[in-house]
Order: sequence, then structure tokens, then C-alpha cells
Amino acid sequence: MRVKTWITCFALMIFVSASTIPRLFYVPDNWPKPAYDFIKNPLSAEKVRLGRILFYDPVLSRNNMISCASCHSPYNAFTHIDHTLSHGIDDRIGTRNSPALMNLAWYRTFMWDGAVNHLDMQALAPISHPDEMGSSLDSVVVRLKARKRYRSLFHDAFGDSAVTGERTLKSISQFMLTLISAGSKYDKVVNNVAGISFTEKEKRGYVIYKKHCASCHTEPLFTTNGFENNGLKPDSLLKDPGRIRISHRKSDSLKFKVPTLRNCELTAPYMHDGRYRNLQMVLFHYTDAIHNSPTLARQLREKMELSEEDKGALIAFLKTLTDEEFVKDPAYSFLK
Amino acid sequence: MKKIIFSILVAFSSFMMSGQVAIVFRPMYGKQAVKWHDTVYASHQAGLIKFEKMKLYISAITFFEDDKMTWSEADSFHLLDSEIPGSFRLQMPFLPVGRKKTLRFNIGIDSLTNVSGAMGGDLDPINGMYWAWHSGYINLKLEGTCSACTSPKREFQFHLGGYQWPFNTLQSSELQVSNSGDIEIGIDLESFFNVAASGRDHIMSPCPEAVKLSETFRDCFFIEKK
Repeated sequence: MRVKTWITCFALMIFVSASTIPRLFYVPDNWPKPAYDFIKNPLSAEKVRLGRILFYDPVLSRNNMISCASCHSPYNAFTHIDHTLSHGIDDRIGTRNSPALMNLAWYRTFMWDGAVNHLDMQALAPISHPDEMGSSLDSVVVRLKARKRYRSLFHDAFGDSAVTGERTLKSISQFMLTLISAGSKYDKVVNNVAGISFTEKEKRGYVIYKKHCASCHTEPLFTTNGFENNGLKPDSLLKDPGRIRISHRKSDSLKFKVPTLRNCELTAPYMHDGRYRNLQMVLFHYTDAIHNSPTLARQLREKMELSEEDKGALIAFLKTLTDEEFVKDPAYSFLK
Repeated sequence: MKKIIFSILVAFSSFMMSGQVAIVFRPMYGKQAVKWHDTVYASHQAGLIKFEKMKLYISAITFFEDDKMTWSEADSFHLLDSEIPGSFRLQMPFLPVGRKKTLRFNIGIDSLTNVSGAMGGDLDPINGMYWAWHSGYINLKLEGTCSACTSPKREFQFHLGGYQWPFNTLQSSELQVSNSGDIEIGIDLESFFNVAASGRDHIMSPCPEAVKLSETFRDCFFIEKK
């Protein structure tokens, strides 16, 4: 009897401790294998914590004013709401709309034109851009070394207090890798969570999505992570050529990264230059404002016919991709 | 007893040392080793030249004998930096035996390493040899001034990089080396500059000119006669 009691207690202890260890990363059911190579940068709670603190710390910018979160706020699925083009240091305006951050472990290229080839290297770009943080990785490392708090955080994460560029970048990656959004109503419906189902309107919207949107905004990530020309008329002032600037292939002219539709309710404005304020304007673009050019996506070459009712249903479906648990997750918030 | 052990250790370590060899790179202008910052060099093509800075990656150091690989360095990535004179001397732990050897090395960083995320040491992006807004390592930086340059401050900046088609600037050099002592390799900056001066003063992204100049640069490596 005594032995049995002990075994039960022991089993209970293991169960309780296992369930209280925070889950740093997981692959949601029926999702593909992540692209990120975790062997080269194995996640640990301490490194994620360091990355999280760095993400919210303006120490990354030249004048100590701009942090990653300045343009990637958690409440908006980590993007910059209300700004068509994001603004950075000294209120300078960039040339593109800051993207929402989620499910980054599944992406192979970053930026609207795929200029960055690895998640670890992503943070380098805003750190060094004169309109964003206006600094450089080597000066960031100097600033971090000067702070006692960071020496101790690096010690906790890496076993010694050496601050290097590699460690700084990998820690920021670690935090970004934990930003998984897979808890929307849509996810619950497709995973047959009891008591949750689409309304008739959402169901109809899902059918319309599958017909008109899914070939580029493919489930479950709601993007192919490829590059397409979706018929936006080139802005005569920004003159942004898109992917061709990186690939030098003519066939990539005016192509931009296909963004995910997950949490799109929260990430206005839309498109690489933020030209559309709301989802109604986006749908109007696809039905009535496609600009024809040689690289236009073949799916958009035929006019998309959507009634007002169809559009309403599609937007109702898109709103089922909003993941409240994701945007309010305390594990992602500012850490004092 | 202690003395004996000590002398054996000394003898052993000196034996080990004799197996070592250094590969020494020496930027040259004509017959002179290049001095940074102050020395003025005369060029037919570009007038008067001053060199301010040179940084380059040497990687994948391998020795061959009769087309068979005899030794290759593990994690072979070296950043040579004119601000750190010792960085031009690469100590190898082992000298392959044999009379005629071929030394092969890359000038720059291979494509696989370019897409492998953040790395440390000589590959840490902190070294200023990484392009943040078009991911990839810069294989060579050569900067200075020349009287024939048309830029406002008469500066030239050749930053050669790019690992993807059609602008892959990674180059491989193969040199025949004899068996004795350190391997001393000159880098003929006069020849490089005579070609480079006929083009743009500033190259700072993957482009056709960068590929061409990386080929020119590859051909500037030579074994110095002792």
C-alpha cells in the first residue's frame, strides 16, 4: 500500500512538473517540418528570455529610442499598425510596410523581396538601416557589454558572459522562433475541437477562399512563402521593383513576398507599401483594380468576380484566422 | 626525474613545432610590401594611390599531391584584416610531406556557409564583412584613395561579394608550393588596381563588375620567390 502511494505521488509530481515547463517550440498538428535548423541553435529557456528582452530593448538603436517592438507590436500580431510605411529612428520613414511576425520557423527567406536568407540574419537589417535603428551590430555588442544586466543574461544563456554578434543574433532568433500562431478559430475548427464550428457565413467564406486565394495563401501557413506580382500598380514615387533587385531575374520584376493571411484582421494596413487601409479595399483591388504587367500572377489574369455578399463572407472567414491567444500570450510580452 | 620529463616535453614540443607551417599572405605593390594609410604608390592608370584598408576571407585550405588530397583544414575560415597585421599569417598545424604540393584555397565564403545563419569568430557579422540588406558575406574589401578617382573625395571602395547566380564572386586559387618552410604568397595589388581603376570607384553589391574583379583578384595570388 505504501509503495503504491509513493509511486502515485511520484507519477503525479512528474506530470505536474512536465506540464509547468513552458513549451518553447512545437509543430502544430498537420503542419510541415520547420525550415529552421534547430541543431545549429538549440532552444533554451534562457536564450529565449535573452532574445525576448533584446526584442523590446531600444539598446539596439543608435539613440536608444527604437526597439524591434516599435514596429512589431505584439497586440497587432507583431506589426506596425496605422502606418503605411514604417517609421524608425528620428521619425524617418522607410520604404515598406513592416510585416507581421509569426511562424517564422517555417520561412526560408525574409523581407518583402527575400533579401535576407536566414532568420538569424534578419535582425541585422533593421539594426543597420539608417531609417530604422541606424546602428550596427558591432556597436550594439559594445553597448550590451557595457551593461551589467546583459553580461549576466548572456552568462545565463551561454555559460559565460561573452557578448558576441553571433550570440546576440541567435538569441533574437530564439525568441522569434517561439512566436507560433496556430490557435485561431480556424485552427480549432479544422482540428475538430468540440463545440467550435464555422458559422454559415464563415463556411461560405472558406469555400471562396479555397477557390480564389488558396493557391498563394496556402494552408496551413496561409502563404507559400513565395514571391508573386499581385497586380499592384507600381508607385511612381517609391519605384520599388521588388524581388528582381535581389534575384536579378526579369521574371521577378514587381514580385513581392506572399504574406500570411493569419491574423490579417489585426495587421492593417496591407501590401508591401501599406496602400490599403482595410480588408474591403484589398478585396476591391483583387476584383476591380488589377494592374496588368508581364509578371502578373497567372491566377489574377482572369477577372475575379465576387459579389458584395461573397466579400462579406470571405472577410468573415479571414477573421477566423485571428489568434487572440497569440497576441495576448504573456510569454511574448515585454519583460521588465 | 622531473628534469628528464621536462626535457622530454621540450624535445617533444619542438618536434611538434617543426611539423608546423605558416601560410603568409603579403599584399604587394610592385616589389614592395604594401603599407597602409600613408604610403603613396604611383600607377599608370590611376595616378597616385593610397591604400587605407584591406579585408578578405581565405577559406577551405587544402593540400594536394598528384591530384590526391593529402590534408585539409577543418573549419577553415580566416579573416585577413589590414588593421590586424598578424591576421595575414595563418598557422597550419601540419605540413604534408612530399616534394611538390598543390595548395588550394578559396578567396571568399562558400554558398552553403552563406545561408547557414549566424556564426562566430571570423565569421561573426560583427566583423563588418556581411551585407545586412542583401544577405551574404563580403569576400573582399579594398579601400583607399586615388588621384584619378572621380568620386567627390577621390575614394575607391571595392566590396566584392555575392554567392548566388549570376553574381557568384567566390574564387578558388591553386598554387604549386615547394616543401621547405613557410609558404609565402604575394597578392599583386598593382595588377589588381590597374584593372579595377578602369571601372567604377565604388562596388558595393553583387553585380557583373564584382564578378569580373573577383576573377582579376584571384589571378593576383602568387608564390613569392625566396
